[in-house]
This record gives sequence, structure tokens and C-alpha cells, in this order.
Amino acid sequence: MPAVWTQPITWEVDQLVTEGQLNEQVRDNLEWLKNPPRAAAALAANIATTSTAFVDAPGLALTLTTAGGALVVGFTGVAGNAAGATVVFDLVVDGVSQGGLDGVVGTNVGVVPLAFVWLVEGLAAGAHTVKLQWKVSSGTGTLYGGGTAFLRFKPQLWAREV
Amino acid sequence: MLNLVVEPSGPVNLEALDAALRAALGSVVLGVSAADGGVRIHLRADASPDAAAQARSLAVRHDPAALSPRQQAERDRSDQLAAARRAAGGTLDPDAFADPRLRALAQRVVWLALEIEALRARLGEE
Repeated sequence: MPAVWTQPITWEVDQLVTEGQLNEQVRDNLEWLKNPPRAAAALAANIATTSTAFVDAPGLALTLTTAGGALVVGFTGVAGNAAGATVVFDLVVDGVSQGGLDGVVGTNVGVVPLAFVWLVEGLAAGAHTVKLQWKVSSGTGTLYGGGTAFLRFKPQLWAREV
Repeated sequence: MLNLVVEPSGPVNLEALDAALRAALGSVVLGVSAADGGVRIHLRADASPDAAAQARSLAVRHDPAALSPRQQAERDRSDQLAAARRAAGGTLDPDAFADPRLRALAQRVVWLALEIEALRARLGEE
């Protein structure tokens, strides 16, 4: 069973500390800190798109339930398009674009490694969706996940409450 | 945005499918994506049911051997280059030219041809 975070008590002089409080305040909160809500997704095959508007990158979406803290989201992968044409990636949390018009990271010089680590603050406690979206300026963008010799990489999207 | 999921019966030429959809339906098409053997067609949210049906039909009837205009142009260029290489025949012999200026020019051409061959070999081209 996943640990549950409980707001720490402000202790007072002579306050009786019960077994339940110790378990909740010390054991459970430490367990939560050691094992906070997190999720990850990786690809085992290439994906490709010609979309000139941001669309979901198949297989790279997460859901996780947080206790109200910030999220750190990371992505790593190798992607490319024909030289001169862009392929760009955006991070979308609960339907909200984090990067805006042209996303968070991208390339227009062929096949390159791409990565980001992104801090998402101001999220309420509860369930959240984290998605990677992508688009191209023209041509075909490919995120390499195992379908091309010497480009058999493993793109990963992950998120963790901090 | 409207996303149509299509399960093609065989391999997909994503670029050619994209070109065919845009040629048939215009700016209502945002693009196509491929993953795990499936294809998603991305249309603008205001795409009509007719446009969606036409897009799905085009994807189902998609022939991966049919090339997009860019792919066709690239193939044509490649074929022309191959034909030009064949037509160029054997090695140029600078000594066949009596005029010293022509001989120097031929030597330059031979040198450039060797440099290009070396570059092609480094790129793994046949």
C-alpha cells in the first residue's frame, strides 16, 4: 500500500505523543518521502508523426495522484526530422501546455538526443495527467524507440512529486 | 482536434499518406502519427463528418508503395544521378589532352571525382 502524506503536527510542550501519531507523523511521512508518488513510461518501438499541431506522443502519458506538492517531470529520447524541418516536444500537465507555442525542446538539425527536466508547481492534491506532445514544421518526425538499427534507444517520460 | 484511429492492413508510408490526405482534404488535415502498427489521423476539430469519413477511407486504401511528391522527386533525382554516373563511363585520362590547359583541367576533374567517391564511401553509399 502506498504511503500517505499527512501534514506535520506542530508539537506543544507536554503534549502526549501517541503511538498513532508517531506512526503517522514519523513512519508514514518518512515512507512517503522515501517513496513519493511517481510514474514512468518508456517506448519499445519507433513512433512518427507528420502533425503540424501538437498531438499526443503515443505511449508517453502518465497519471499519478499527488499530495499537493510540485512535480518534477523528465524526458529523454533521440528524435529527428529531415534537416531544416523541426520536430518539437511539449509537456502537457492536466491539459495545460508547459512550453507554449513551440513546446519545451526540439531540433531542426536532423537526429539528435533531446531531454528536459521540468518543474511543475501550483498543483492541487489529487490525480494529474502528464503527457508528452509533439509536432513538426513539415516532413516526418520520428522518436526512435527500437525500430531502426543503431537508433534502438528507449525514450522515457517520468514524473515524481517533490 | 479530432483524432481518427485506423488499423492499416500492412506497412504505412506516413509521408505519402499525409500528402494524400492534405491533397484531398486541405487544411482540415493536421497530420498523421504512427505507433505500434496503428495510425492516427489528426484533423481540425471543425472537420465535417464527411471529411472524417473520407480521411478514414483514404487511410484504409493507402498504398505504401505510392510515393509523396517529395519522395517521388527524391527518387527521380536519385535515378537521374545513377543514369548520369553510368553515362559518365570510365576514368578521364588527362594525358589524352595535348593542350596543357585542358590537361590541367582534366587532372582537376579526376581529383574532384576521387574526392567525391571517397566521401560517398565514407557515407556508406554504393
